[in-house]
Amino acid sequence: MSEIENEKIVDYLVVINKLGRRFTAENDTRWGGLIEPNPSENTWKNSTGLKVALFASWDYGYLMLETLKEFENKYPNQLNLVGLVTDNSLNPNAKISLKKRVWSLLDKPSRVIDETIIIESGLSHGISVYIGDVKTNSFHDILKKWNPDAILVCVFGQVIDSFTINFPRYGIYNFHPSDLSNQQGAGPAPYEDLVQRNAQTGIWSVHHVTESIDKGIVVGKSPPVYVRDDNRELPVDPIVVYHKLAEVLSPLAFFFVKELVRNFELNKPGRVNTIDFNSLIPDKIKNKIMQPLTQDLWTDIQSVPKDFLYKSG
Amino acid sequence: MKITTKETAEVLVIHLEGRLDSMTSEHFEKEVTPSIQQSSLNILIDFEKLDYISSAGLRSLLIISKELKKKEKRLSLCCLNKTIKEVFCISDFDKIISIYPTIVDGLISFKE
Repeated sequence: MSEIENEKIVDYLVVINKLGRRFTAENDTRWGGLIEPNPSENTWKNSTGLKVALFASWDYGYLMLETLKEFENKYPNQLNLVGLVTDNSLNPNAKISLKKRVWSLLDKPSRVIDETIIIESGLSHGISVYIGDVKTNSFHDILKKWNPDAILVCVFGQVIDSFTINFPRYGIYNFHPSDLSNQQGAGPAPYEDLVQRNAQTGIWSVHHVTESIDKGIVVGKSPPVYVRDDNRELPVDPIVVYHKLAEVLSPLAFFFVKELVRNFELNKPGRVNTIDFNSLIPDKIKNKIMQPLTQDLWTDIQSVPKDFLYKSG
Repeated sequence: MKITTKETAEVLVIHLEGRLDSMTSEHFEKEVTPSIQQSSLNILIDFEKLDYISSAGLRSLLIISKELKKKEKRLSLCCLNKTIKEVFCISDFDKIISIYPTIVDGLISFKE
């Protein structure tokens, strides 16, 4: 598929849907560009609180975005989501390791849905969405304009450069679905790691982002998530297993952002170096994620559990 | 969005009117899912009066298509406007969901 055809899909599904949205491709990006919302979208959004940019894609990215949006909706003075950067999985020119990562498991229609749904979700929240090369001067200018205090990353296909890594005063953190502190599952195929280890459970790591992929200091780990079915078998479809692991992602993102907000309100810039998710995540959730898998859970978990967020505030 | 349905012996024909987007796709899925679960009909969706379909609408179609496949039934679409048809072609949706120019063509296809 050519780049022009790709842009036609994005144009149709997210730009022409709302008059006033704009797509701009900068000269120095090899693919994609910046999509800006209509100025009338989400006019209530204010500009106070910790400014967070999200670099994320696929279902995990969507869930992270929905969690941050829900956090901001509930606590508008604490969090200000300023921008979304997402994989342009439809563009053959995009350097996002398409053949190695989760995208290789998905057919084109699924990629169309996954990419455009997250873009639509960001734009409708009133934030700009960037789908191009992040190692360019034009993206650095966009980042300066967003001026995030912290950056969260989840399923993002590009190596992030030192300019971006060193930009946010409160740090840049990646959420990765494997136990990196025990050297398990780094890189693009955490499912294969579960198979090789004959694992019963999976764990998420939150770590500092460095220029080496999945090598930064691990600051926190999720409680274990049971990844087997009623027959104690690991499902053969990696997507089903990844969706099971996603059960704990929303609480992880919520408690991590809460920690960042706390530091921000105390005016304590610097990276978070440790967070004990195990003590923060309620037992009810820990018990739920240890239940066997009975079906693909995505339909159930794609909506952020609002009652949990509100109760935990 | 307005949804009306008609049944033949083998096919449930669904006429959509308006927009199939994030505001309406949940309602659409709730309307259609019981038919899939309770009957063993193929489904033909008439897009003639559909103005717009978003990613959320595409996702609903993909879910319905997969559910029907489990029951060895098919989802087909007909009467797509030029823009929607182009999007379906570029995104390969036309490779997983059959598209026909008219309702009659769509109905005949289930007899083949």
